[in-house]
Amino acid sequence: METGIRFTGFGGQGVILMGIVLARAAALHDQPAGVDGKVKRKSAIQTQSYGPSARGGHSKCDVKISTEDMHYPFVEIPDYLVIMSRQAYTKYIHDVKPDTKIVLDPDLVHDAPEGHVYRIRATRGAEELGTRVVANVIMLGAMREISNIVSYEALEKAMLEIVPDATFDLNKKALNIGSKLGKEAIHGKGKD
Amino acid sequence: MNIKPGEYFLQGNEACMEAAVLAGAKFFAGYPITPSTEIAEGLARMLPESGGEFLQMEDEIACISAIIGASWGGSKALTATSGPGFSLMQEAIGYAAMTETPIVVVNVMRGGPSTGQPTRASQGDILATKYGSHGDYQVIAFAPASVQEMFDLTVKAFNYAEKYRVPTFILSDAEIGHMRGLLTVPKEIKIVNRKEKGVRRSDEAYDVPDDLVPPFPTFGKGHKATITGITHFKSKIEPEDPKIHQQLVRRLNSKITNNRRDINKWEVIEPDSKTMIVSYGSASFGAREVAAKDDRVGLLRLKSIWPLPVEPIHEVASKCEQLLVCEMNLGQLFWEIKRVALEAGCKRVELLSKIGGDPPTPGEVRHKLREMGAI
Repeated sequence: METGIRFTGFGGQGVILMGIVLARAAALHDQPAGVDGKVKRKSAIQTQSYGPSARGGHSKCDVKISTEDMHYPFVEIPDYLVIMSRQAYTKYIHDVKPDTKIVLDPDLVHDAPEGHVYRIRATRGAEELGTRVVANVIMLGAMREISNIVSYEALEKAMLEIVPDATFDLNKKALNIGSKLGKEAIHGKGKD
Repeated sequence: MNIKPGEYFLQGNEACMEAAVLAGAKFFAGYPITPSTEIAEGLARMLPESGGEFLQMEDEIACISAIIGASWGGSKALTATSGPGFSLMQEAIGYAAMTETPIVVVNVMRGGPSTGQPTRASQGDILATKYGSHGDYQVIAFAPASVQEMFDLTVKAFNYAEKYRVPTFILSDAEIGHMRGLLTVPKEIKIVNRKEKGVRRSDEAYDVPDDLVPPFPTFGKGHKATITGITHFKSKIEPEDPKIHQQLVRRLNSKITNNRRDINKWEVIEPDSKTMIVSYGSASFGAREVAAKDDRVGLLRLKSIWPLPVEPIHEVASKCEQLLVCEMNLGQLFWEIKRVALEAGCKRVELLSKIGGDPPTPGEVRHKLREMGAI
């Protein structure tokens, strides 16, 4: 089985980092038991596209996670679409299937798309932690809760391998808040 | 610090630079250019730590000239670049071929011509790699299609550059270079070093052995050697003698083409299918998905493209009814493959060409195959 996840936003939000952490968690740390009791590793590939400018331009990061050997590493139509800017919403909202789950921050995206929409107030949550820079980690935590694509432990481990030591506590808190917001969204609060 | 055996989650460009250091690279001269910059950035940190040198030059002509010099000084040397930088390097690539200098050039291809698409993938430099410099010469070029292959083939590139004393290329692109995936670093890695020779006679460095690859007279090791791009015989400059020019240039070509079987690497999926696709690098992803799921279609994926892998192309073409070449340019390797396929008796050879930055999707490959009546 293959699952495609697309993270979108603008340069500087850490959109690509979200994809790196998720793919890393799936490839290195998440080892579900496969057929015949043998542990079958997931394969995961992260790809990205960005404009020539480093900040403020469009930013997109795709992750494909497969329980089989992967032949085609790119995500065409995502199963999960995470949107963190108005510009990204306009650009990517049409590349969805009827059952694509859309995760967005309603403080950044005011539109009301149809389908399976989960509203995660990630920016507000980050502000409550004292800094907006962890909005991406909150979004990632929520997205994991909604998709259950990797375990919480694998995701946290992959994140801590990448972020600077001094930010461990902040990022752990952010991931936890994301998880809570994700749970709330699943149980109807914030969901259409 | 060399990367230790184990599993990593890395970018293609990062896998390339780790492999370079592991293969013994001690010198990098570069000029930053998207989408290859991560290689320069990483080696600027890694090479000084492992006793090597990193230089940022004023342009790409200086970069390739510096690595040719470093190679003659006895270091395994590389540079990394993309389209516009690769164009600037062309004259010196011919010089490296003529002087039989082992160097590795990583070209993370982007859309051209000119500045083109800095952040998007392309396979537009396939022919420029083989024919970009003037005169008749051969190079070795690998086309990785995963993070793992960026690693494996970079090690091979150094080994073959040293073994055959020839400029060797990694033809990656913006997708493979920036893609992150699992890298397994094996416990044992085969490393080849150049044949060096203690000199007893002044012209011994120019003796041509049976394998056509003369031993390498490293500067500063007591050898007397004239290195020149002009036609030469032993240590003498002989630009007027037709026989000497013929012998020299034919040998430079033969030492590579005679060893195609040793150099070329490829993978075949479903080799007995009625329709075969030939592809490489990023262009092969869509084709691989189709070939893995459809019995009627097979894939020959070239992991090396220069010297042209005539033997595997000939073999699949002689057994299939029709052949589709899939590449991210307007048809470059297509003509070479078509020539070999028609000689092998294949009736029909078609091209799926896509430019603009996105690799062909499985859907686009299927569409083309339907047009051909293959599926």
